Formats: sequence, structure tokens, C-alpha cells
Amino acid sequence: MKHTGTAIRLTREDKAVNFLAIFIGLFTLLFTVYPIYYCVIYAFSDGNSALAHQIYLFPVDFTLDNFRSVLNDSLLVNSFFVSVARTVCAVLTGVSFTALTAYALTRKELVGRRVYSIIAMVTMYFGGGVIPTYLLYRSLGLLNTFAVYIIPGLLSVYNMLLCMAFFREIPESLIESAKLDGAGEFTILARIIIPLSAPILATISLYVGVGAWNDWYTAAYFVNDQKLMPMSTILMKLVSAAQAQQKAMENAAMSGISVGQRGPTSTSIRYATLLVSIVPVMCVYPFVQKYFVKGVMVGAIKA
Amino acid sequence: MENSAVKQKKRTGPGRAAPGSRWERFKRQLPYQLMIWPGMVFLIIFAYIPIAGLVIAFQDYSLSTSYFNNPWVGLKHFQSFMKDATFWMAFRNTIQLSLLRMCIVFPMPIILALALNEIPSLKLKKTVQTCSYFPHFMAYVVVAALWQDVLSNGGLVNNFLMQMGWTDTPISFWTDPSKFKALATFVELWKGTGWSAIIYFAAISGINSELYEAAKIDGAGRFAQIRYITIPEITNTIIIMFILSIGGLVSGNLNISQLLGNAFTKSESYIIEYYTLEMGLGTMRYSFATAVGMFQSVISVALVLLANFFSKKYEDVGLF
Repeated sequence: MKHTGTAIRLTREDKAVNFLAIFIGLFTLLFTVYPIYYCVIYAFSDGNSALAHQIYLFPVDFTLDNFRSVLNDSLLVNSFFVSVARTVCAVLTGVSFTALTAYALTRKELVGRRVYSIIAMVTMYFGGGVIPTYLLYRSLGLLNTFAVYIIPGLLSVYNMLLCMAFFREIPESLIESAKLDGAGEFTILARIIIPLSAPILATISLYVGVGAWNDWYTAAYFVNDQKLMPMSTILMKLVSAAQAQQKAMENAAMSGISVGQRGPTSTSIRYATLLVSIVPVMCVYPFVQKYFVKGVMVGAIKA
Repeated sequence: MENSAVKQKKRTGPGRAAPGSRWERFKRQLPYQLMIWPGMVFLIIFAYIPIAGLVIAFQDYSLSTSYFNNPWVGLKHFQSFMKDATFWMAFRNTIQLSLLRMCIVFPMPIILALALNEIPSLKLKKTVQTCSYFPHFMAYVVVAALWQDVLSNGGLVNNFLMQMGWTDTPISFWTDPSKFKALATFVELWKGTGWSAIIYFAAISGINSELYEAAKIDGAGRFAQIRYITIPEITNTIIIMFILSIGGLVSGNLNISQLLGNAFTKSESYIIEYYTLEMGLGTMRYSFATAVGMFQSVISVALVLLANFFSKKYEDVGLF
């Protein structure tokens, strides 16, 4: 019992709370991670073998065939690039536009600041809804164009408020002294405000980026052209198609026709497709993680 | 120093107006006007024109006309959806799903944040947090597809249950209407709990640690500290989040309904948003669908205002 000598004595209640907290923590961890892990092992398993044997922890008959099938589907490959393109464009244009508007709104000198703020705030609570929006896009000629992914997302009032909360924390004296040195407002924004605001800009980049990457809705309702379909919309259609076939597939799986056969199944290919669509988010996630926690905290404290 | 002062004088131009005068102040802020106008023009086009477009709810709109020269029909469209049984089915499902969200999905992040806050190992706490945020960044499409496969007849859960001998025939999760709402709530929980907890982590980390020190000296145990310090200190955050969620009572999650719902479960998964889309973009009854959408958003705004009014009155916490 020597090793407990220096530590604070834990009461029975402490132990109970610790146990309960750790239990909830581990349960959350397992509950969150395991389904994603299952998707990974299934995607690397031979489709028919995975149907025949139950897999829980490791892939069975390790193969890359599922990914080969994904890559052979030219529509999917094209949609992947559409997704990348729209995400990059949306982040670059959306974040700079939002930051610009937010900066102007935080400046006390701005004449009419109250009116501008009200104009922006009202849109947080009222909206025209999907039909008037559709009619607007239609009359602006945005339907069936790549621009429909970018232009309507240029400014998000919520992200703008996050930005504003952050900008207000920047000491006024920095801006004042830059002005004394003859810097114009746009120079100040580009040279002082933007570099100091990396955490919040990273956060809203993540929001905009993930939003663009995951959005299936815009393409499903406002775009017909197959070449402009992003991956999420293609996946959505795969899911719906899968539902239609579900019964048939399940019957095949149950009767065990496939035992001994090899080759990808539509389920294993779908898991591989899901994985391909998650991977870009997974790659960016660790880098922006520390920023978005900070960014959300700023928003939370301000709210 | 002197140099910069001269520069500044030059920049403000010849002394027609004294520095600090109204004209001078107006001119100084012109660059900010240049910065704000694009944003305002954007909002007017993409937020206010659709709001103005709501007038078609009171007209018989057709694509060949503009907003201005349609016949006015008063509340005809409102009356006709009120008589539609499909609308009421969608309305009932929307409300039921929202109530489930409020009763089950809403408190979970609070419980998670309170629990994680008590984990003695910082490393474990950080790992759990990082992982639990992740599903928020996964597309709903992906989450829906994942859970559909995991819970399908030949999927992970049914395999496991059958191997353990707990069930003889696979449970049909997604084709049984009576299970839909529970499963939809479950998927929402899986996707959102970790992320929604962030705001409570922030609130908890903002609590003054002296409060805990004082309570410890007074002999308060861990449960007592949670009960009498942590929870009261985050109550304001909880109320604000609750007000925000009340506005969502009449709005459903289209992702859930459209991606997880199917022909088998339509009686339980069909929500107002879906109805609006089908009526509007599907059958091109634009005025009718706009009326439905407007009905929905008027109720949401009224609910937010009402909730805000009551919380201000009794708790002195409000959004506005």
C-alpha cells in the first residue's frame, strides 16, 4: 500500500464516481468507434467471405478488390473530384467573404452598424424556405451549375458571429498603431487581423468544408447533371437503391448460396465507398481538432 | 513618429473639415462600407428575396409568371393542406420525432459532459472527447448507410444476436414501422451527442475552481459537488440550448426521414419537410408547398419567442 501514500486518499464516493465516469467514457468510445471500425474491416474483406463468416474484429480474406471496384466506377471517381473541387472552392470563397463581412461589422466607426447587424440577425430566425429558394436559384440561373454549390454558401451568419466574437478580442491598440503607420483598412485586415485569427478561421473552414463535403441535398434537388454530382449525393442514391434491393440481398445472404465463393458484394463495395468518403475528413480532422474546440468555446462563451 | 503623423495628415486630406467632424468620420469609415456591402447584397438576394417570395403562398403561382402578377387566392392553400390527411401524418411524425429529440437526444450531451468531467485520467478524457466528436463530421448519408448495413437482416447486429442464440430469425429493424422512431433517435444520438457536449464542456471549464475548493472544505463529496455546483453553474447554458431546441419542435430532420425512412416505414418516417419537397419540387405545386413551409416556420418562430419570454420571466436568461 506504499504507492498510495503520497496520493490523495480516495473515499468510497470518489471511487464510485471515478468508476462510473470511466465506464461512461469507455462505453462512449467503443460505441462511437466500433461501427466505423467495422466499416473499415468489412471494406478490406472479401465480400462473399464476409457474408459467409461473421466478422467482428479482423478482416477476412484481406483484399483491395472492393476499392478496385470503387475506382472502376467512373461516376464515383468523377463525383469524388467534384466533391473535392466544391469543398476547396466553398472554403476559400466562403471563409474570406464571411471574415470580410464580420470584420467590417465589428468596427465601431462603421456608420449604420446597427442596421447592418439587424439585417444579418433577422436571417437567423426567418427564412423563405425551400420553394422560394428554389425559385430564386431558378431565376438566377443557378440550377444545374457548379456555382449552386458555391454562391449560396458564401456567407453564413452563424459563422460570421463566431468570427465577430473572435475579432472583438483583438486589442484595438494594434489596429490603431497600424493606422498611425499609414496602413489602410484592407492592409490591416490582411496583415494583422487574419494572421491573428487563425483559430477561428480554421474552425469556420472546417465547418464550411465539412458542410460542403457532406451536403447531398443541394445536388439532389438543384442539379440534374450526372457529371456535377458530388460523392455524397451518389452515395445517397446508392443507399436508396440498396434499400430497394435489400430484401433480395438478405435472402441470398440467409440461404448461404455464396459460401466458398469469392468476390466483392454490393455490401462490401458500399462499405469501401463509405470509407473513401470518410477518409478525407479523417485526414484533416486531427490537424484542425485543437482549433475547433477553441473556436466553439469562443462561440459558446459569447452565446 | 513624426513621419507617421505627417502621413496621417496627408491621408485625411486638406483641412476642409476639421478631424473628428461628421464628414471626416464618414469618410474614414468608407472602406468598411466597401467591406460590408457585398455581404449585405448577398443577404438581400439569398435571404430576403426568398422571404419576400413567401407571398406566393397566398397566390396561384406558376413558373411562367413573376411574383407580382399572379391571382391572389387568400388562404386557399392553407385550407387545402389542413384538409390533407398526409399533411397531418407528416405533422404528427414531425412532432413525435422532435419530442423524442428533446427528451432523449437533448439531455445526453449534458450527462456525457458531466461524466467526462469526472474522469480522473486526462488522457482518457481527451481521447473520448476527440472520438466522440467525429461522427458529427461524417455525412448523414454515410451514417445512415452505415447503420442500415449494421442493422440489416444479414448485418452485424443480427449476426451477433443469432450467433448468441438470442433470436432465431433476424430482426427486421428498418422495415418495421414501429421501430423507426426509436432507431432514428438512436442514430441522431450516435451522430450528435459528442459534438453537442462541447458547449457543456466549455461551460464546465468556465466554472470558478474556488467554488469546488470551498465545497471540499465544507465536506461536500463528488456527487454533492456535481449536484450543487456543476449543474447550477451550467443551468444558463442548458436553458439557452433548450430555447434553441424548442424552435425545432415543428421542424424535422430531413436527413433522418429521407435517408433512413423507406416505403415500409413511411407511416412513421414521413415529415413536413419531406411533404413540402414532394408537393413543391415533386408535383410542382409551388404555392401549396410554400404555404406548408410558411406555416411551419411561423410556428417555429412563435415557439422560440414564447420560450424566450418565459425563460426571461422566470429565470432571467434569454437569447435576446
